[in-house]
Amino acid sequence: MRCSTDIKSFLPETELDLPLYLSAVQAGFPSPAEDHIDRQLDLNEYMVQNPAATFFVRACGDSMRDAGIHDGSILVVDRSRQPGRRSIVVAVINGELTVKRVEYKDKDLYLLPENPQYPEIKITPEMDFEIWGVVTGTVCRF
Amino acid sequence: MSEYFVLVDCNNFYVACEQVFDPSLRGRPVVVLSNNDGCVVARSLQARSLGIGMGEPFFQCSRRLQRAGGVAMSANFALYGDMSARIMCCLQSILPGLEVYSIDEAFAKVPAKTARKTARQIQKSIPAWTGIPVSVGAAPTKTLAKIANRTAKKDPAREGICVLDREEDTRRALAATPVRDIWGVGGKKADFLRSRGIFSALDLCRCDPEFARTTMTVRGWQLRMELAGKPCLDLQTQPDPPKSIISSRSFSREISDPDSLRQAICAFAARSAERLRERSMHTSCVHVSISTNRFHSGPGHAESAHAGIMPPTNNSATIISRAAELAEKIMRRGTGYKKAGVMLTDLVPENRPPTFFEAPKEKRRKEKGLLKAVDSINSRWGRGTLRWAAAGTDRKRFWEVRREKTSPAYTTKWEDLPVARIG
Repeated sequence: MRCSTDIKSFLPETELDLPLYLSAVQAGFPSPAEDHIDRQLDLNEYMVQNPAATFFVRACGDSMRDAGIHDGSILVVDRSRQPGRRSIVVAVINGELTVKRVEYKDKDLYLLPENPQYPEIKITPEMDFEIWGVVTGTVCRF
Repeated sequence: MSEYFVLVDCNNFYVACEQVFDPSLRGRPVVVLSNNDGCVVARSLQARSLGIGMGEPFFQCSRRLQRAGGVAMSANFALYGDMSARIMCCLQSILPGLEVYSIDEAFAKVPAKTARKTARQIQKSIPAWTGIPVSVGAAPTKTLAKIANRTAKKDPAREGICVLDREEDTRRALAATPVRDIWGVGGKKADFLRSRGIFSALDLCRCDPEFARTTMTVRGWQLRMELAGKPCLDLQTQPDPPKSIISSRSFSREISDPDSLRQAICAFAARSAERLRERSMHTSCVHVSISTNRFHSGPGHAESAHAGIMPPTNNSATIISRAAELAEKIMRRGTGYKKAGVMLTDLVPENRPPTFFEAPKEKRRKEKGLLKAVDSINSRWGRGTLRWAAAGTDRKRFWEVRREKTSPAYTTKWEDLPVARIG
């Protein structure tokens, strides 16, 4: 399929850096910190290891409350990561996206909530199930 | 050390993008529609098996789709563009020196020895990273890599990978490829070849060299060489500068009011001028075209006209006024138009040598400053924040693309992120 859409390269740079410190400029004397000026901190670099494979997903609901995922949290999901034991993942169950902790018990795969009010889900072969990506962090604003 | 060309092509790309973020669309007949929801531009496997053709007008297949529980989506280019950039970025890490051939295809070169291994790696990691399935073809030439890719898609036993490194395998793939499916063979050329008894890629590859030399163009000769495994085409990692810039639309209804039509054409001219500046180029020829609905019976009207601009420019004001004059000239009163477009050709780089007709330096400087200000305001606050009055001042514009069934911009807008329901 030939298409006229421009393909722009993926730019992982952030627009906003957080300065380590701010110091007023003094005329006359060179800043004693000059030799120590470091790179500024970049939240993207902290949150995202593989930009091409990282997606943001909004959580809706409170079944993962005790894992620090609240209603409205933005999840950082890295699809290039292999899920490990007890990883928190975004999964597809029966055509819907959900977020749970995965765990194997006696070779059975379970999806565990992080809120005692919700039940565990045992994954059975007849379920339409797939791990969509591994949640590597959450972002929320107050 | 011999090298192979690799062609990576996404399977049903637009549909696959939609399915990544809306898993309920998986395994169902899904089509993606062109601008204004006119034609089918992508189909899921299940939509193909309903007999829905590529480019089929939507009104012809909407009932069939609906009855089968299928879904039609408007094209969401913000999403497809972002997913494409991710795929190309992932590919680049495996295959340095990529030629991005289209939104969903890329060529690269790999050592022949490792072609199969690399193909397997790509075929595994792109879907893992992005959710988009791909097919990979590898062969000694670009044309053969295209055929290998097609073979990988058509033959399920290949599991999405086809490396044409054995003579017998190549022969079979060529025999199974009709001439019209060869890269670079258009409908007319295919008809010609068939009339000469050449039906498959294998026939073309084996045709009499004397016949090839006397009846085919240089491109045809190259094609024959490429099919025989002798590379004539190399990777194009630097894209050619564009030869023209086109902005055109089908309207959602017929437009017979001359003022409205002129405004639409001025808006297309403004958009074209903007794109000209993005590419740092000048134009010296403006074309305007209008046409009535080609799906209607009865006499239609389609006409185009062009005018030169000297000195070459990328000033919206000049381009718009020239387009408006042309529109005035070709419009017929009382005719309802369904489509209009503006094309800029004879493009030259902005830093071209001066002509004899340049405006005074001070005027040029001011003009450039104004355009730069307009562009930076629009890039900061959104396209259309500052508009040219000739293009009309209504916020809602009839020629703007109708996309009634667009999915959210899942990856490019904070308000549109995919949602995971958790209790």
